Amino acid sequence: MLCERCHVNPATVHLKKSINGVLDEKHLCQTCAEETGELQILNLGNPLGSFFETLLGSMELKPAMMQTKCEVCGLTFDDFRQKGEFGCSDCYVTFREELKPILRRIQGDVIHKGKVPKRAGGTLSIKREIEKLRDNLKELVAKEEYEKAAKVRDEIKKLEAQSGGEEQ
Amino acid sequence: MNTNKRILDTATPWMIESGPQGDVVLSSRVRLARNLKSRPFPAHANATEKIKIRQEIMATLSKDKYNLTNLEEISSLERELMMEGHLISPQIITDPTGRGVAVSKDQLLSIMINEEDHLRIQAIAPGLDLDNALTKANEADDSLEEKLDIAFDEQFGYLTAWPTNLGTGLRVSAMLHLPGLALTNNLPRIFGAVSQLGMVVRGIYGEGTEALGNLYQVSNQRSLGRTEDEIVKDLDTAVKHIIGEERKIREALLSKSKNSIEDKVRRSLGVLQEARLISTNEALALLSDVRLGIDLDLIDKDLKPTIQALMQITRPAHLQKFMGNSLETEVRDYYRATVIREELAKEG
Repeated sequence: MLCERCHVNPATVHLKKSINGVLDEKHLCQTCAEETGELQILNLGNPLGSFFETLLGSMELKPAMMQTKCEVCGLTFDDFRQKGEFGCSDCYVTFREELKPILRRIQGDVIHKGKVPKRAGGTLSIKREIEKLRDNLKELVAKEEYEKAAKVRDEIKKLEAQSGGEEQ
Repeated sequence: MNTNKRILDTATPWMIESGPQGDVVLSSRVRLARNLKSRPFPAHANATEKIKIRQEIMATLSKDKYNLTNLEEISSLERELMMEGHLISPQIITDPTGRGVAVSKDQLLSIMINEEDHLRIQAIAPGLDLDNALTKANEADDSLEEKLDIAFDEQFGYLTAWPTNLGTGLRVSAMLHLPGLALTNNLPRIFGAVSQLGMVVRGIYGEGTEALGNLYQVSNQRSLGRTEDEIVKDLDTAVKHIIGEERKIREALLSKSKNSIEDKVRRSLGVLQEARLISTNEALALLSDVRLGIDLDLIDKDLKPTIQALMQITRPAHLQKFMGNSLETEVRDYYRATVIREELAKEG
């Protein structure tokens, strides 16, 4: 649908006004909506951005932290606080600790439990497998099934060697 | 006008098909958000960077499998058509530079490039079939990951532009037709319960759009801390609950006020068969009534594919594409009414 004012740009602002029971519909492009002043009524800013600002307002933030910059894209924590979105994937590494309380509120959790990509996932799949086997091992020991437990322990050792062996 | 054949052909094939639980669920959708490691997210990238990222991604996609489109190279009408076909989101049509889309030949899988994230893999299935959609999206994800360096963190999972998509990057949704619950003012109660379960209800084109023709999209809100299968299972359970409620109401309507329901849906069919001017909203409301009539066995079942197709092709861009020029509202309403009338007469 084209803007009904300029007939050039696509209509992206769809307005419905009911004044004294008379319904008025308008389909405008961004520019025309701004020029006619129609967009001002609608422009409430970025709802999610202000949501983050409120959320973070209740946290104690040190000024130094606000100026922490992502080395890859240059985004500061203050930028994130205002917009609610990050600049690149490295921002998550830079702001890891500051982000956790926010994630707890919006996601209810801070640990990914889903899919692990084959290449980018690194040794995470192996680590998860080791965790599963450790639980298994505990159960077997509790049940005094030592022969089976020994096999599981060997398997854990093998996997630990694969994942770099930094875990004990 | 006698061009019926052509306009029906412009409807997306899966929208005409009826899948599992097709009396209430139109379609299931699964979306995975992915990004390239250490590259600026689309909102922070300039045009040159976006174009470069798009090139890298498109180079990994086979032309035998996908139709590849650079969005700034097609008309705004073509972009709106893609949006009405649910192949791209409303947000991306206004600023197309550096953005792109890859659509599988059967249109069930699409990959949006440089929307909010570098990659948005979307799989659709007719009816309620979330597992099938997830499997397809995962396959596409796996083959992209073989060739691209995807941003992933052991603690946070897949890294996304918005922390609301973090972790699995997964959004699962189902498009529901709920005329019974709407007619009896039961929607606020149902949606209230659904939101308690961590789900969101939206209009037909996703975020910030209004509900037309009693169509509602239910989706998960949280993407971190649970596995993909758990997220899918939770939505499936919630949707099945809503289906149960909708069917209960439909049965009650049928047993308590069959005459008035039959009158309502047949009147709506009558208007569609005879009207000379119809707006998009009126058409969608009337088509919703007829669809309900079909699902209640009050109107001939053979009409269903036509009704499903009309629900899509009477929207503004599809109609405009069919008519050629950009149309004034009244002219468009006239053509819309004509198309519906002729299409229904063909079935009659």
